[in-house]
Amino acid sequence: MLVLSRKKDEKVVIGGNIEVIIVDVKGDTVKIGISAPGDVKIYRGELLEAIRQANIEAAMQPAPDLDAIAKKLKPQK
Amino acid sequence: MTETQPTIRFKSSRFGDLEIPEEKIIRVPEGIIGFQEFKRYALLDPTGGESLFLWLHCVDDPDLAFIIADPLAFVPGYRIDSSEPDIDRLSVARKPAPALFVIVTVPPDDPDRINANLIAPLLFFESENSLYQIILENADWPLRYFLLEGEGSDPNATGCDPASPGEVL
Repeated sequence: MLVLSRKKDEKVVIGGNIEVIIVDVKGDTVKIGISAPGDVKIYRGELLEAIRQANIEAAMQPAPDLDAIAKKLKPQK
Repeated sequence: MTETQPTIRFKSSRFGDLEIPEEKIIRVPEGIIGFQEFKRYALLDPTGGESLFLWLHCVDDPDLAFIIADPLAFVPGYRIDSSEPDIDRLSVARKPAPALFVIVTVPPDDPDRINANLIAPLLFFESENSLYQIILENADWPLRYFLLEGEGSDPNATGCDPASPGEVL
């Protein structure tokens, strides 16, 4: 992994069309700004990982008795 | 059966051998998060429209399937803000409005803990038969919304109380 030291307002350019700028540094929080083409997906890493784990859990399940569950749900419409 | 429509056969570890018209195949160009390599799915409705729940079943892996549901059926106020980066990235505003689904998990050892992922919903563009899982970066919908308890409620206080069978709504 490439590790760079940057100061506030300094940038990193990735692949010619993605810019990461250090907006602010306060204590252990770094605020970054990212400019990228509209088709580039940008997510917080821990959120993406949590969703990946939840999806794996959802995909592993055997076919449950959905009818029984649906009967327990209160109608909300 | 007439041979007018090309069909595709695939296997399901849950439902056995299946066959659907080729035109019903749903493309998932970006894959479901964690399963990016799988791009072709079928929408299965084993109950024929009776149930709240559908299956999004991978055509290329017999084990890979997700239970999905319309979130508005249990979270009436659920909405996706148009300022979400993924809404812009997928040019949602320039297409016919997509159908909205969320992935539902039923823990095998405790089905009453059934929960829905509200932070990463599915957009189904019916007109182009494509589906995307998006992430709502600006919202604080829960990753696990417990359908039988409601978000943030005490699991011991609601739900499966056999002593109050007369309760309606």
